[in-house]
Order: sequence, then C-alpha cells, then structure tokens
Amino acid sequence: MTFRRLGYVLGALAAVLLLSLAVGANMLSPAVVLDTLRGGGDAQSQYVVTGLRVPRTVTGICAGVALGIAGTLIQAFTRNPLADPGILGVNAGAAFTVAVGVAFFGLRDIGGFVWLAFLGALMVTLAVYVIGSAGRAPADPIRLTLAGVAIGAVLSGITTGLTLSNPDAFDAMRGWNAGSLLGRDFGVLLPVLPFLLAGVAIAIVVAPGLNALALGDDVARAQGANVALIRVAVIVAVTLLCGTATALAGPISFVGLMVPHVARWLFGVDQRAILAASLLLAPTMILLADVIGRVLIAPAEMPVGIVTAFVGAPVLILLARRSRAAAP
Amino acid sequence: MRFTVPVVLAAVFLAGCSTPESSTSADGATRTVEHARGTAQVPDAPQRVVVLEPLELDTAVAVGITPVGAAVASNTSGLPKYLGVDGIAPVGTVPEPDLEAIAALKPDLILGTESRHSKLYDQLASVAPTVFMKTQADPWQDNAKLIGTALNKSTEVAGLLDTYQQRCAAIRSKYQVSGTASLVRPRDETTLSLYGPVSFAGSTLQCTGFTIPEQEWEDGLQADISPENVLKAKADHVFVTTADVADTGTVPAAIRDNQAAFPSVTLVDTSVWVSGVGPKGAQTVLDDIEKFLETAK
Amino acid sequence: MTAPSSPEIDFGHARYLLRVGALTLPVRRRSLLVATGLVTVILALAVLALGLGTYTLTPDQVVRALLGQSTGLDRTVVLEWRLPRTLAAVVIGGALGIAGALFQTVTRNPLASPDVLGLGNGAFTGMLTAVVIGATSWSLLTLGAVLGGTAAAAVIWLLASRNGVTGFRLIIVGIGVSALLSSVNTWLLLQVELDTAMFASAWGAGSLNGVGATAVRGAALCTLPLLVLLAFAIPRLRQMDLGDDAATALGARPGTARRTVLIIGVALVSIGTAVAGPVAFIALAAPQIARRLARTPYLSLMLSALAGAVLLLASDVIAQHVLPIALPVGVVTVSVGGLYLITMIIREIRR
Repeated sequence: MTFRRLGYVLGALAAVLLLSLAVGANMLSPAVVLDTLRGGGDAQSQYVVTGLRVPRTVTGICAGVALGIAGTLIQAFTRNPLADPGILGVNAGAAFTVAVGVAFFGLRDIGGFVWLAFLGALMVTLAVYVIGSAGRAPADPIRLTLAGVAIGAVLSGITTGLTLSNPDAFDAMRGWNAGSLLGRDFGVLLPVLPFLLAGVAIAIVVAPGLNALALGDDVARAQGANVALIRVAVIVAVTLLCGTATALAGPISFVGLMVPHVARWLFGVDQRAILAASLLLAPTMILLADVIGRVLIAPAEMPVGIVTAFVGAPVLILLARRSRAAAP
Repeated sequence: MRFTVPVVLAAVFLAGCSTPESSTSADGATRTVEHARGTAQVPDAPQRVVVLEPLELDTAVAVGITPVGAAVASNTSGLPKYLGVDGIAPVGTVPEPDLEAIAALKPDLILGTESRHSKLYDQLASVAPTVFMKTQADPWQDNAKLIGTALNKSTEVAGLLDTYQQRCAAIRSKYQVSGTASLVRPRDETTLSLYGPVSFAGSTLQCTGFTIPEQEWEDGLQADISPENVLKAKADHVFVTTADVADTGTVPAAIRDNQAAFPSVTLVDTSVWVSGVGPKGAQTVLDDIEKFLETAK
Repeated sequence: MTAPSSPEIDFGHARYLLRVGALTLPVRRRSLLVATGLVTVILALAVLALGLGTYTLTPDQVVRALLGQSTGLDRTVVLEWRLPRTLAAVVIGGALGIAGALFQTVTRNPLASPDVLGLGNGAFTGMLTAVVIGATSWSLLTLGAVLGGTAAAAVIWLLASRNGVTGFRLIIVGIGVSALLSSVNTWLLLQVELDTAMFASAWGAGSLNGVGATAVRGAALCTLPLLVLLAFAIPRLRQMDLGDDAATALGARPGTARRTVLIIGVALVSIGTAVAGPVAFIALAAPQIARRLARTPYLSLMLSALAGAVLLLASDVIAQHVLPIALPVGVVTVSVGGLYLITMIIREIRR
C-alpha cells in the first residue's frame, strides 16, 4: 500500500516535471519543445524552453524542497499542525529587507533581491529565537510562535509604511509579494544552493528526533533525546530552508503549511516518512501551480504564489472537514 | 462591559454635539460648476487652489495657475520634476490628503477626485468650494476640460489641447513618421504590460503617426503578456518605461535576451509617460518622441 | 457602591463586590485598577489627539473647546475636524478589542482573531473588486468591503461546520480561505494601475482619515445594541472557557452560544470596517494585552475594549503626528501591537 502510494507520488512529480518543460503561456508544440531540448529549435523556442522554462523548473524544485521540509520541521517542532514556515516571521523579514533595498538603495535587480531576502529571513529568525527563547525554557514553541507573529507584524507594518510612501518600492513589492519562479537564472540559483543543501542535511539528521519531540518534552527526554539540541537544529534548518525558498521565489504561501498534511494523510505519522514525502510532494505542488499559472490567463501569466493558494486552500479545507486525525 | 457602555454613550453624545456647520461662504463673484458630486459655487478668479490629483496639478500649472498646495504621489520624490515648478506646499499624499494642512493654506478652491477622495468631500467642502472629477480612469482630455471649467480657464485648456494635436501633426509631417511602436512597462518578473492606443502615452505615440501593433487590449488601454510571449511586443521601435532612463540595466531581461527581435529599444521616464497625465505631461512626451526621432534620423 | 469584602472562599485574588440595585458583581481589584488606568490613558491620548495638528492647541484650549466654552477656529478644529476621528478611534478600537476577545474565547486560541474568519482579507477583496469594476464613491467601496467581509465569514462558517463547528476546524478553514483571499487581493492589486493600487492599499491597511461625525454616530449606534445583547452572553462565555464538555455538563448549549457570540463579533468588526477599513491586529493584540495587564484567568471584554481603544488611539496619534510622513493608522497598529506583544513576551520571560 505504502509503496503503491510512493509510486503515485513519484509519478506525479515526473508528470509535472514534463508539463513544466512542455507547457506555457507560449503554446509551443511538444515536438518543438523536444527538438529544442535536443539542441534544435529556433531563436524563439530556445529562449522560451532553455531560457525560461528550464531555469524556472529548477527554481521550482529548489523552492519546493525547501518549503516542504521546512513545513514538516516547523509543524513537528511547534506540535501545531497550523504552523507555517512563515510563522517565525521569515516572509515578513524578507519582504522588509527587500522593501528597504528598493526604497533606500534603488535596488531593482532580482539577483540583489535574493540576497537581501535571505539576509532578512536570517535576521528575523535570529531575533525571534532570541526573544522567544530567553529565560528558563529554551525555545518554547508557543513563545517562539508568538514572537514570530509579533516581529512579523512589526516588520510588515513598517514595510507597508515604506511602500505606501514610495511608489517605486510599492510597485516592486506588489510583484515580489505574488511570488514567482521566473527570472532566477543559474547565476542567481547556484550561490543559494549550499544553504539549501545544508538545511536538507540538518533535517535528515534531525528527523528521528522529531518523532520523540512529537510525544512531548518529557517523553522525549525519557527516551534519551536531547530536546534542546533538536530544537536548535530545527530552527537552524528552518531558517536556512525558508530563507532560501523565500529568497528564490518570494513569499509562496500554503506549500509549507499544506504539504506535510497531505504527506501525513498518505503515509502516516512517522516524521521520517512525512519528511521524505514532503520532499517530493512540495516541488510537485509548486510546479503544478506554476504550470497552471502559465496557461490560466495566457498570453499573460499568473504568478505562482497566487496559484498555490488556489490549489492549496481547497485541499486544506477538505482535509480539515474530513479527518478528525488532523486535530491536535 | 460596564465601562464600555458609558464610553459608547459618551461617544454618541459628543458626536451629537459636533454637527457640521454650513460651509464657509466665499467672497467675491462666483460661478456654479457641475461636477461628480453635484454643484459647487466656485470663485471667478481662484487665487489659492489646492489640487489632490496629479492631472489637476498638471492642468493648473499648464494654464498658468500655480496651486498653493498639492497632494503628492510620493512623500519621497515630491512633485513631478517635469512640471518645473516649486513653492507648492505638499498636503499629504494622493490617497491620504492631509485635511488640516489643506485648511491651513486657506484655499479658495479645492480640486479632487471622486474615486479617491469620496469620503473626504464633505470635510473638504467645509474648508473651501470643492470640485471633483469622477475618476482618473476617464479620458484625460475630458477631465482636463472639467478642470479648466473649475479654474475658469476653459478657453486656455481647449487651446492647450489644440496645441497638442497640432504639435502631433507637425511632428508627423516633419519626420515622416510611419511604422510600428510598442510601449512596454515592465511590471515584474512575470508580467510585461503593453500600453494600448487609448492610454495616455499610447495615444500620443499614435497621434504622431506611429502604429501600435494589435494586442488583446483591455478597453484599448493595456495588455499584459508573459515573457514567453515577449515577441508580441515586436515593433519597429520599442519604448520601455523606467525610473532611470540612463540605466540600460532596467531594460527587461526578456527584451535583452531577444536582441535580434528588438533592434530599436528606447528607455523613457515612467513618471512622465505613465504618470505625467495632463497637457504639460503630454508636451513632455512629445519632447521625448521628437528627441528620439531627431536622433534616429 | 463598592466596598472591600472578606470573601468566604479564597479566590486567590483581591476583589471588590460591586452592588447595583439587587445585582452584586464581584470585581477584581487589579482589573479595576487596570481599567481606571486605561481610561486615564484614553482621556490623555484624546486630549493629545485633539490638540495636535497643523493648528496646534494646548490641552487647556482643548478642554475648553470640549466644554463648549470656545468659539471660532478652536471650536471648529476640535469639535468638527478632530473629535470625530478621535471618537472613531475609541469606538472602533473598543469594538475590535471585544470582537477579538470573543473570537479568542470561542476558539480557545490566543492567536485567533476576526481575521480567522477572513473578515479583514474579505473586506479588502470586496473593496478591491468594487475598485476593479469601476466603483468610485466611498459608499460603494464601503458596501463592497462590508459585503466582502461578511461573505467571507459566512463561507468559512459553512465550510467549517460539520456536526457543529469546532474552534480548531474553524481556524484551519479560516486560514485556508484567508490565504486564498489574500492571494486574490495580491492579484487584484496587480491588475490596476500603480496609483490606484496604492490608494487601495492605503485603504486596505485601515485608515481613520476623513472620518466624519455621521460615520462615528452611526458606528456607535450600531455597536450599542450588540453590546447589550452581549451582556446576556457573558456567563455562557465564561463556561466556554472550560471547554465544550464541561460547558455541556453545566447545562450550556455551546453550539448556540458560540454561534451568537461569533455573529456579534463579526458584526462588531464589520462596523469597524465600514468606518475605517480593515484595521489589523487590534482584535488580536488587545485581549492578550488586557489579560496580561490585569492577570485575569479569562479574557475580560471590558478590559479588552479599553485596551483596543488605547491601541487604536495611540496608533492614530503616532500615524498622524509622530512619524515623519502621515500614514494610514493600520500601518501603525500592526507595528504598535506587535511591539507590545514583544515586550509582553520579554517581560513574562524575565519574571
């Protein structure tokens, strides 16, 4: 049963990968796409397939892997199935630094956005961690969540203020806010990759500890788990992953929240299985959303972040309606 | 609870005390002007005008009335530079005008826009006679005429609009303008906006003799395309709006990566070509077009 | 009226018994102190708000104008220009504070707020839709906002109800629909011209700019009956704190009570939206701030209302007079509320 489901998941990923290369706002025939991938095609098809679709597919996979894993980690960490990786204020932090870059330093280039966003994500998670974990209990999930919401609110207020008083910043941010996989060529992608890989590596190492954590701190300690260490590792991983995803694609909502739910529904409650499944499911979801966004309003495109909400929200609502298992 | 009720009661009571008084009466001769919110008694020769909309600022300056105050599009950049005026007090931003700053200027005429300042009308009208155009989305030349009426400068505005048409025709015949032109506004990574023949700068391009290639326009104003379809923007000349015309890095990647398809790309100022709606802005667009044609010759 | 009592049962906190006719209400001493403090802050802020501006007045002049002892410009400025805005901040802040306390009590989740029912996002969607289809007048935009907000709440309610509505499912569905609406908003903002988008965003943040006497009076008159209705629901609310099972055992019908309370909450928020647009964070932060100040075991509606009024009024003073550029109040409420929550968390840790 589990293997058959794993087969479906892998099949779905392969299918959207093909779709992502073959389908777009510019309806090239499959034959032309195939020809272009083999090195043929004309200037237009080369631009569309190798210049646009290949890099955006790679970006989508990277952002998906990061969001899927970050979502699983944060939900296990907070023991809150509602937790979204953005709950630690990462999106708000990234948006803030990008807005500052546009408003005060006249930044326009997406390559610059990536690093600013990454910096913002890192700084905010650090601040959330410092505020949320000072005192007796280190990294108490509820307090961290509250700190994340609070800092996120402060920053989003400042960001809105900045953009409302600066039309250039507003214009740049309303695009960035929608989330997009376009325009991130390999020159932008490659430098971010080490952070993504580091985050994935930490997640894999920490995965067994997540099961212990899910049972509560006391049980986890009784089982010999180092709760404090696991928590710190999870936060480092979430920061790296979420920072990478937001830096690459902007604030893509819903993937990190929803994918672990689907994974749990398909493969049960073992965190290792959820982690592995999320790693496959999240890129599938992002690429599918991207493909839908490309064809929905052709010749224009709908940014991927808008579509993820449309794909994700109904699934989440269905899950909430059908299963009692989702309740805490 | 026990405290909320008295507070709310007090609120009702105090609010009841503050019934607005009838609007201040203007001295001197007045005329009746019909506008989006009814009619207003407007002074024959307004001396202290406050404008809340860029088009109103442009038109007022164009007919030789420098407003005492203007709502600005942005707190940071202030008044549009192409107007070449200063000494106008900022009275908040276009979406959030500052009522007290307006009142402090003691204006004798306020110009605003129903679609943006609807909620403020009563309070503005209690400060000075207020004339609203309906929406900034209406054809700008019609709005300019209403502003002319409010300022008692109808003839001047009509004259400016005629001058604009005549200059278009002059440019067309002087440079023998023909061929196609696209006006592209890069929105974000996902979207390029093409401006259509009804848009402000698009109509100016058309009236100087360029043809804008057919697209799936929304009301003739605009069409959005994905970078995958960038070749739809293909034209003899492509104008790209930017905040900094000197920075060639602001040409969108989709156009840069397809150089062969876009032989003639010219950067133009967004604050004029997109936001500079009005008789003065139109002249500035024509300046840019003429400069381009002069270089291309 | 009030006298310190020596309770037979030790409640663990000092109380007063408040007697109004035949009614006797126990009032915690700390709550009373906090309430007095909050009211003082509101009054001080109000005098400040009424005095500050392009035409500055001393507190003395403000008070005289309020008492009807001044004429001319002082009177116009205080009573006609600034008073409606100040009152609006108090009334709407109070309404949002109560609404937040209701939502958090019903869902038993400190992070719940009316936005869980998508009211803020729904209102913004409604308003943006009105803008996109070309509505220009304020009344149409407001209508769009109120319809959008209530429609969102209704949809979330319907989707969340299955053998009754549980707080948890409500939150999940609410988050789903809210995220959906927020994406719609991002998308609609991309569809309109930059200046229109900025105008819409300023409104969407929540703004008290241009609030007139009529609007405040309307808001206050609509709020009043809701508060009376609510007074009857309070005992039920306290039972709800104990959880559904305990509440049912005590003879309460949690389903009905929850529905009534949420509807009142939605109505309170809608009133605020109609006057000022969706002002964020007050409903979320005010009850928590009130609870931490007064250290009550439950969320006090009265204190939440007062805290909400303080938050909104202070934010508006900051938005108008402290910042280098005037901004919509909602931009500040988010930051002020957030900062306050942060200090609360830090103080709690220190203790």
